[in-house]
Amino acid sequence: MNTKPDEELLALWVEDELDEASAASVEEWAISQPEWVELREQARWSKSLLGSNLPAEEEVPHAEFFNARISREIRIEQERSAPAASVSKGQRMPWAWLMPATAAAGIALGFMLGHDGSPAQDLAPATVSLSPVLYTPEKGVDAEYVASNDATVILLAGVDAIPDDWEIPETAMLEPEPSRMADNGERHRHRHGWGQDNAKQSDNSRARH
Amino acid sequence: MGGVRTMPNNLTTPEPAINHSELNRSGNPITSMNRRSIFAFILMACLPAQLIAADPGRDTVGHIKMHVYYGTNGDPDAAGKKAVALDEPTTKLLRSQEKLNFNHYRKLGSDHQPVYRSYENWAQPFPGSDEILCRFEVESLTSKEALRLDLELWLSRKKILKSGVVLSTGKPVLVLGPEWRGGNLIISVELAPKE
Repeated sequence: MNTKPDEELLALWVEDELDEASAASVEEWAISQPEWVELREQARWSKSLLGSNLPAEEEVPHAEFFNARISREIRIEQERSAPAASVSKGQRMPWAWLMPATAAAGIALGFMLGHDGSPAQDLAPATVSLSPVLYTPEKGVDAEYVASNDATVILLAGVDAIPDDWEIPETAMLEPEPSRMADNGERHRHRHGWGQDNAKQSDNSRARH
Repeated sequence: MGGVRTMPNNLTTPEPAINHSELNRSGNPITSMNRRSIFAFILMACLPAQLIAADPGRDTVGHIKMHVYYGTNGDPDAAGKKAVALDEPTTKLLRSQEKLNFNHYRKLGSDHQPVYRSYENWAQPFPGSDEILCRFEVESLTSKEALRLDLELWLSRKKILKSGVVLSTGKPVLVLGPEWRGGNLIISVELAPKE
């Protein structure tokens, strides 16, 4: 081969991962390329250096191994954090950098290996808050909620008294009957305040009385 | 010259056909264009009724009962002749609440209104009077026997109280209201039991 091989072929040649035929053809080209020969020699040296310290193959530990290691590290961290409240700002805990990584690793492993572990705990059912939310738009008026088993009691304070001359209308219903929609077609207002719509009508009615 | 109007750009438009035998209320002849307009108006007027009938927001999800009571430690007759005495369970309920404990009670007015799925409604215990009103609207359906409502109490045409409360059957909302004739008004709002 007299032309420069492609990048992929060269990379495999540098790593000594080509078959004999391809390696021979690249070797023929590399004779005139001392920098590439040097590059391959460096790669071979690095490989031998790493190979002497690390095994070629290693079995991946089971999931429990990681969980156990993470739990152990968390336990160690918690034991150290108890007296660490008096640690000054200038002192850094030796395993402080491990906490975020440990938490992230635990979350990732737990997500990936969730089907191998124990069943997920049932979430607590959502509860409805029974305490009322109170708001009094009028200035000087306050509302207080009093908890009770039999009723929801709200105490208003600061409300103007109703004039003593106000009489119960003749139309007051003391025995309420379920209203029919047809009868109340004029009563309910969609998205508009009764008070706002009928303020003028009330003024007129009061003027008549 | 009759029958054709000359428009700018030499466009002409025929005058609408006039049926002199048909006249509207003003004595003007009803033209075919007017007839089509009337038909279109009637059609448009009928459509909203059908749309309203199909609106699921108008479904009733419950009924509320609103009562106005008068509580006093003085003369209960001050409430007037139209006021009536309370029944025993209601009296017992009111007396069990420390701040609502009075010597005498009277019922002044009531109203019973449906709660719509997605529309507000108003309760008016004194029809014809806007002295005491209650506006309510569903916030959520917490269960079959309870509703979370946005409840507003209007007194003398002013919004006095706005509250988000959970209303359930057998557990009313009791509001100690303003003073009146030596006593206090007590407004009760409760969810009516489902029949």
